[in-house]
Amino acid sequence: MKKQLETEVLIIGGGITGTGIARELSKYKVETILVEKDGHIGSGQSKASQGMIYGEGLLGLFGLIAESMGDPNIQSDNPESTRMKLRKEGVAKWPQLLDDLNIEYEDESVLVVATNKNEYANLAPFLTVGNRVGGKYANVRWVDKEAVFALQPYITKDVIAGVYSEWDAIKTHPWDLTIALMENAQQNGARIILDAEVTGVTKKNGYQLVETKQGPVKTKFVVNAAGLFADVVADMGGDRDWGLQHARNTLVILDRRVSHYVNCTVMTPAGLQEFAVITRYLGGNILINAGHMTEAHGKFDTGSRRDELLENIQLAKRLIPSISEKDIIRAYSAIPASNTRNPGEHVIEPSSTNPKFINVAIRLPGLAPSPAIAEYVVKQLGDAGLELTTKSDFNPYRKAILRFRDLSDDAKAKLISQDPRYGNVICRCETVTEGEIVRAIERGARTVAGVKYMTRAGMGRCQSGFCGPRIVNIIARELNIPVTKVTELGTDSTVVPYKSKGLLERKAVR
Amino acid sequence: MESQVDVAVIGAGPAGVAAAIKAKEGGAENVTIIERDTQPGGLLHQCIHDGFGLTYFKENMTGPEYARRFIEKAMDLKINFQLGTMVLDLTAGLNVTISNKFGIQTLHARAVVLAMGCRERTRHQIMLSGTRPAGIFTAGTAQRYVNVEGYIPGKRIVILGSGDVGMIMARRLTLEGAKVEAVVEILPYIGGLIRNGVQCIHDFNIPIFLGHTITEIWGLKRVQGVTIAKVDSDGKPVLGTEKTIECDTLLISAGLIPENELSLKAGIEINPITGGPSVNEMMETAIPGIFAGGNVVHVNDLVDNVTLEGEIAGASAANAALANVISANRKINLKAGKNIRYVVPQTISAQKETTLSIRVGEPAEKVMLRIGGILSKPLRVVKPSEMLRIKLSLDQLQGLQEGIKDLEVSCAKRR
Repeated sequence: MKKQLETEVLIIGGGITGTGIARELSKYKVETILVEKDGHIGSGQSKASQGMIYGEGLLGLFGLIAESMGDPNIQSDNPESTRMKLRKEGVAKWPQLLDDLNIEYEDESVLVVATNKNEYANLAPFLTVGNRVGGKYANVRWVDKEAVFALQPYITKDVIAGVYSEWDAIKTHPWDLTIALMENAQQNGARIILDAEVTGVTKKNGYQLVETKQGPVKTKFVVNAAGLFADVVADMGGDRDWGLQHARNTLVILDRRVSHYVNCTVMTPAGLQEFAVITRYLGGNILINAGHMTEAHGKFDTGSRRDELLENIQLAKRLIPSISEKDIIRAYSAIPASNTRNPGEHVIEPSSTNPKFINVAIRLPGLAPSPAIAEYVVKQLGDAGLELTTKSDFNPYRKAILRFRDLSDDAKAKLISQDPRYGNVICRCETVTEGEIVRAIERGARTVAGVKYMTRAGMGRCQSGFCGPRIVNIIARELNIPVTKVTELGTDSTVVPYKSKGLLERKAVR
Repeated sequence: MESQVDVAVIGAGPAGVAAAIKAKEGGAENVTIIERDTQPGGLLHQCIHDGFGLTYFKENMTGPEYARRFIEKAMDLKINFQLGTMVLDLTAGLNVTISNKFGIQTLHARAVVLAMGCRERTRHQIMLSGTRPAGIFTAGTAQRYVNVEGYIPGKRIVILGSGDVGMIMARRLTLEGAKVEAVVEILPYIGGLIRNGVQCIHDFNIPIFLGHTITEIWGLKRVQGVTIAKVDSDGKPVLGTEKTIECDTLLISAGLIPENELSLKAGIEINPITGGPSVNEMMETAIPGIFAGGNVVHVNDLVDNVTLEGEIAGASAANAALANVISANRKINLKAGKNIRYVVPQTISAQKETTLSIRVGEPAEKVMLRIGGILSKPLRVVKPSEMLRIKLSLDQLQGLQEGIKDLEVSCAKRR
């Protein structure tokens, strides 16, 4: 029997929205539990995001044009809309947050290029961004063919001209954000339960009983930040007058050995059926988001598709001809959701039949507005009767796991002398040591994917072919569980379910 | 910390250990092998099947037995093994930065042998559609789990690709009580050695689908099945031929890629066909003093040949370390002609006897293998999965014209 837990606020979903809210709530004297259906946090759309925190620059405009192409009814560029306001506020809050939480990031430049007449005609709105928005974006400028080559030596000879923004976004690893926010929330008292898919919510006298796969939780308030599953969870808590719809396309990650192909985000101007956005990720892998958005076949349509993948590479080659399918190390699909009531807006409101159940179903982009959404949701909880008294001892700082690869040779040697496990490289593609993997497990990683997102082990070109068995062994040893119980992603995803001769013994018994 | 070595060998697999032995026997005093695993032998440890040593020792051995012969010899020769040690950096100036539990160290080498071997292609590299659940392994990773770690990845297995490791794992998992539901091969013929097709697939009645591929992987948490389909002559799936096979495990045996991240760090260019550095008959790369042998240069099908290449690289490295440089004033490029995918070495001086490794493009029967004007050899059958090894004697090489730049290797149908 799993014992029943009690809390004041239960957050459902450990993505960028849920972890952001958990961290914000941990500033107050409020008991919080976050439940996540998978074996690690940030497992859904947060992880599949491009990791860009952007506001009103070229990337922002690109998104808006792309949205309005998908649905002409979307009026999302209205600066007074909640969505635009939250995004702007969020972008302003992130720099401080990234420093406080010791998250790796870089400022990102963006180059929009035209390689034919149609694209050239679509460049114009991008040029006006700087004048319209000002501030950091005032540097947005026209670049002629020669200047484009100077910026991007690997670009196609077909390029006509481009628009360049020296500062357009903050580049992060999206999973770092969710991990850091949750870790800091936990430092300040929040609790987390993994593998705890919510199966039902019952309204009782003065509280709500939330059933999860890890047992029931008694709570006063519920925040539904279940991402792709926000509609399913919303139905458990009360009524709704909105639904979710999902688009999809296949994204591709290239080997770090070709990281020199681009040195900032290079993209085609939106406004055409096909698009291509090529970014050099933190750590050097090239990420290609290209193709055209299609409707997803439901929430589970996250698999990659060969036809989309080939289209993706084909479109990327039009910008950077050196790009080759030979350098692909991973492909996946993002399936961003929008709500059917007003696709250009978020849903952030109490359930119409349950005022203590706040639904948070957000629209892309999700990373940028997260800190502002967190404040907005906490205010709604206050309005719904949650007592909000600030903690005097709130600690806003969190330290990331030391990354061996990034240290100087002297610092590496010093670390190894303190703990020889840092001298044992487990993931050879990304140079991740046993020391880092043990730290990740100490800090809450329970699965192969959990270790991967906390340390990068297994993210390289061999995709854990070499380090996989070694990581499974370390997890089993550190958690003191049999190897046959170690999972890839949490419940029902055992890596190696049987011991050698185990299947033969079963047959013999029969 | 810094130290001097005569020859630094990177990798203690069959190529590396053979290279180190020959380097030591060739007079190099301080020979160091750097190996990231805690034991030498490389992937041979997990290859517990037989078939090793047939050409080198004229004996049928298992992988670990074959490895042991060389490791013991290396130990007797007092070759220095740095185990549990990762090479962090390699420079064109022959400095090797290593890391292990004792700290960081830079070795200043007089010659370096690259023997990093190869890695497996993953499901992403072959652009397989589908979800990303647990239960998808490269065949070699599954082999490690079964033969080294002692765990079985699943009960119902589908294997994509009929490379040697895939076929060997089909038999191995069957012997472990798992059911191999299918081996799926996109080509109309099996990808590995004939003997493995017979001994691992046919003899165990394992269903093999030639001219098929996997078009979808099913399952969110753990693999639940795959869809397979026939392919047309371009390798594209034919609509309407799909068939779904339930399984909990998918093994990928879709080829190997030479492991050359360190070679790139040192500034060595990688040959796009072989995936490894181009070498001359001394197994020397474009950077003087850096040699390479075995699967880091090109993927071999027999370990015996890996050993032979390692030996050449090691002997040459010793010569370089001792400054006994044999002047190679002629440089003749070996060109891949009709139905030839590649030839290793890529260049020769024609001043010493040389064995060429030749990989054909497509299977063919009754062909004539021609090397310039100096050799014509009729062959009954050639296959991409079975490397041709052709020895050119000094006599034959001396028959080359003065000033010749290119030597074409071809394998055309006999008329």
